[in-house]
Amino acid sequence: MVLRSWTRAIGLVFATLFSFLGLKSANAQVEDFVKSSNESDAPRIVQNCYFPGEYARVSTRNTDLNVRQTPGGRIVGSIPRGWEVLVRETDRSGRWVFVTSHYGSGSVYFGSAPNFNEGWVSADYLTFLGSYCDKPSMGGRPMNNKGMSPKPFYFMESQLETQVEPQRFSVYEDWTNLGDRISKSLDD
Amino acid sequence: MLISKIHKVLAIAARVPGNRQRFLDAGLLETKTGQLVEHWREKFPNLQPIDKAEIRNSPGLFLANASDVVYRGTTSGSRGQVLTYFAGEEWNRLRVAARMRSLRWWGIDDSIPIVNVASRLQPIRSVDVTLAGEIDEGFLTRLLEVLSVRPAVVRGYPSRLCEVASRLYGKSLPTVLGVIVTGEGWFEFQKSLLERVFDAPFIDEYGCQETGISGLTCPEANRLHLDSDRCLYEVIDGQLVTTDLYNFTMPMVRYCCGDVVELEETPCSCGRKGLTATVCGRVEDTIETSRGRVFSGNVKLPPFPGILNYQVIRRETSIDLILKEVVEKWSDRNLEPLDNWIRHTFGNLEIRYFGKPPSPPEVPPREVLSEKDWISQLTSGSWGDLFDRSLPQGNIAAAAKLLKQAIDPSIISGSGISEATRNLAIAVSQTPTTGNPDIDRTIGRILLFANTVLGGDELLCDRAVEILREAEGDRFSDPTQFDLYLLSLYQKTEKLQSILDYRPCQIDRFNIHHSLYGFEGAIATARNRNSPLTKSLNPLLAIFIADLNFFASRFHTAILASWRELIWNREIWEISRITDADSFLTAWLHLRRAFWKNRKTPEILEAALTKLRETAKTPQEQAKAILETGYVNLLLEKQLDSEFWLTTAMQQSQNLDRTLEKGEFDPLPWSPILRNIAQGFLNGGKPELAYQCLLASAPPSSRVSAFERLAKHCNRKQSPIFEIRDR
Ligand SMILES: [Zn+2]
Repeated sequence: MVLRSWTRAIGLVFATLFSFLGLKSANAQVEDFVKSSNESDAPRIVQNCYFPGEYARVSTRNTDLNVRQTPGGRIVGSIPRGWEVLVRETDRSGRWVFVTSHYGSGSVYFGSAPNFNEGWVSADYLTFLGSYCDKPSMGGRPMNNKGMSPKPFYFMESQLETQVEPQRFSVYEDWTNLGDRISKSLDD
Repeated sequence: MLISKIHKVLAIAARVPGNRQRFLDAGLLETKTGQLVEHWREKFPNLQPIDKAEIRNSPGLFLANASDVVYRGTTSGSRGQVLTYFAGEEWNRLRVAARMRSLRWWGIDDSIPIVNVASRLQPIRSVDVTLAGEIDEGFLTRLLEVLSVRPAVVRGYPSRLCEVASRLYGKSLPTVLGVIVTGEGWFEFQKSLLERVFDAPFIDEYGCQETGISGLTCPEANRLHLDSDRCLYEVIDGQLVTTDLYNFTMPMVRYCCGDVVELEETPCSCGRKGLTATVCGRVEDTIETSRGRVFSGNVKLPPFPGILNYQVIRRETSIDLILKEVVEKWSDRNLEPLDNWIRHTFGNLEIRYFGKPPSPPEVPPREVLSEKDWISQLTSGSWGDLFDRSLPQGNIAAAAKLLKQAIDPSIISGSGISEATRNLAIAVSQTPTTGNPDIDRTIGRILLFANTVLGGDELLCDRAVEILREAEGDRFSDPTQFDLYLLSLYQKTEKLQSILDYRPCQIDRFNIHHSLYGFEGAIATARNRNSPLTKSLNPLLAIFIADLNFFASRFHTAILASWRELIWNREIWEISRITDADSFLTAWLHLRRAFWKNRKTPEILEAALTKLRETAKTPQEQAKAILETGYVNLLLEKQLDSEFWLTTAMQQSQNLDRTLEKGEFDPLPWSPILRNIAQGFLNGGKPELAYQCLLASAPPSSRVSAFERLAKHCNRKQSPIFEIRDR
């Protein structure tokens, strides 16, 4: 019966529940001036946060983190140390989490992580960094020192007639980060 | 009256390229002239509603005006879809007024603080505060402290408020005057819990910022009154569709915000005019029940004895029930009514019960620095890293805590001034000196920093100077002199002027962080003094930061004096007294004096500019000279060529700041220029560039930064009921 079993279950069971809720926090966004001949499909804001889940950094010591098909199962790939991944699900034991990349699954190939694959990894080797969508609104320079994901915020190529290199920009930079950035010029 | 308002906004919206096709399709436009047809009222109902996704795809196409941008907002990103929108002065004024009016129904006037709790909600008025971050013991203590200062109203997402309330259950609380829920739909058990714990009236606030929608329940009948003055409301296919009557900057016409509402057919018994409505939830949030698919807001979620907070997840073949908080005297028998209710509502599905989700694994604590190392990193290392660590022990501990609180406040206040920080600063200032010059000097400097963050405090300042004199003797070191003189940017401290001598000055990292806060105070001072420069060079703060970034490695105290002159519009020193500044700096100082002294005299400004260009040797100096040319054009109210200036900004950004990475553009120095050229792009048929320029010219702010940092962990909305299709 349910009534008897649930007390036992309570300590054991945990699922990643918050992913698909009416999650409405403002988030970092990519500003992109995309070159285009047609105005209507020209520059647009590319959303960084189509996946409102937790994200985490791979924190193995020296080796890559193995990715498995099922919790504790067959190895299907690996993720280098320091990479940031999205957490989609946690198994009942809480020890295994299903991770994927910021770009979703499947067809993405990463030059510096050739064996990247989505799948189950051991939670012991992840540092959880909070919700992916809760990054500063309006872009905001990625706050590396605060554990924010250093995803690019791409900026502008454009309807400009002059040829210029595409450049990324951000606004509402973290204040401490701004001070640290300006301080860099003291090191010269 | 309403008709003429609709006409006005339609006429403006008709000129916006993003609207053109749907206006044409509806027969609203004369095909030849593109003007609104005479019988627009008959055609208006044919107009296809538009939703956020469409606007977000190319927001610039909906921009009607790039000059009157007073308000910039970011929509709540349901499923991560964020839209930044702009609105003008009138829109913003009416928004604030409408809010004040409806809050007064509940007796909430401007003296009663609204305390935003654990939600991504910024303080709106100066009496308001926001407490965000993880809901731990410290959080609850801070909340109770804030509430005990004086009776206040609590506001937040219902799910988050419930999380807080269930932790406070059974405790005695200070008086709370009301509980405002906003941002997500609420459910019966939440109302019951919040009323019980806070022992205060339950107020429902409904809003959809970008559309001008706002509403509040009335105390008499508890109906949600939509503020019909600012917005035209329609319900199409069950969904709320609105036309904002006052946004002429980025007009929103027949905008479908995605909320399903039912309008009440009878007027409210409270006697207030206008529409009242029930919000059923988001159009995409539906859930399969035994009576078919319904909007999740239509499921009641009643309170159950013993269960304070719960969440229902409908999976394909089961129901997951998370008991987020139960009473201490728990018995499994408490599950029976819930069990019955689930079966009644969802049919005979397997029910899986879950306990509280475990807290995420704790990040292992980082190594605590020794006093000496901490001080050293404070002046020559990364602050981001420094304040990510635990604070040091020893004599510096209290001052370190003060500094941490000043830059990383745990409570964001609408006035910008935190009482807790003030009290801590006073305590630190009253502690006797240690006799160790390094420590005393650091404490003195931190007190100056606190003085800056607190907006200037004579006593604090005097004590800091005393401590610094003791530590450094009569001749202050360069960094200390910088800190002291920075004060004069926003504080009337004539006595400080005497200690400044004009000479090259090697500044440190503490100085740089301190400056950022000092500049904000300085700009506020300039604005209060109605300095014309705050209007023509907007945001002036960006210019100061850009100056600092440029001169940091070759600083000269005369630069501080020059900034001071810009703020106070007063000559305070003779440039000719400076003999040891290089020629570029001297030329720059002359130019900056002309900024305020000769801002209406093109000949003088241009002569100074020519001189600066002639002295510019390095690519960095040349870029700075170009940037200053842009500023001068702004001062002279010249029409800037949008194309030229955007290209120039992008080309010169890397020259100006060599610490930028490849492909990175720093909009900050250029932001007054970007702001100005936006209208030019709009007029020139390049609305997307106009929009992007407005985005990039956002004024920087320490408060936004502090809020974001605080809210990033724990501000999520969490519907207590939703559906997951299994993978
Ligand atoms: Zn009423």
